Amino acid sequence: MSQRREKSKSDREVFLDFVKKISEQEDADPKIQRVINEHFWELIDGEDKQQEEGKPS
Amino acid sequence: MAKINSKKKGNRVELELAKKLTERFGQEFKRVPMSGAWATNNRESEIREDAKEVLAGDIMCPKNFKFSVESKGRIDFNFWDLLNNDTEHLEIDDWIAQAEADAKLVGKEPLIYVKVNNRKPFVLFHSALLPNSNEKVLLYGDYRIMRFDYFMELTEAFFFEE
Repeated sequence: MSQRREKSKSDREVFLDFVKKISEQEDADPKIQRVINEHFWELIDGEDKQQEEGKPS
Repeated sequence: MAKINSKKKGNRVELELAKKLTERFGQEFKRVPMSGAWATNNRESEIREDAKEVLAGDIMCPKNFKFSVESKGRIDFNFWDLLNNDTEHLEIDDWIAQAEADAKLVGKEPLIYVKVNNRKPFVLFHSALLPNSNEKVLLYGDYRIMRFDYFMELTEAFFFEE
């Protein structure tokens, strides 16, 4: 039964496939470039930033 | 003026990094005075090998620390450039070349620390050093890009020769 179960791609894998496809285009939309850049920055400082934002002032 | 500010920023980033490494490992790390490839520029000099080892890179590290550390402070950094083949010259390639030259000089592994304004720092190191880790942001050539705080959570054995 479990042999037939195929692990589906994670959201991150799907996103990286998308990034790869877009990056191969010669003139990718600057908006998409910005979104992709920001995605990687969120991986660098996202969690802490969210925690900091959640803190009461 | 801009150049002076940029130099000041670079110095500040180096000092911050030296402090973080000292706190993490309980051993002294210090900014190399007048750093900026000191050892690379003096590779032909007759300075003692042990001194070269300490002075290679931007941070003076303990002798058994596995890495030669380059530190970069920048206003901005665009990950898109790493993914896209259209960009002809990337500054990151210069950083890697410089870090590899310094590391080779002293037989250590290159480590590049990057601090961008209003962002958390990240590091680049040879991905082969940590082949099974899920903690990655992006692979760039032979290098893994990782959040600095996650990098600092790796075990002592990763950082020091026995």
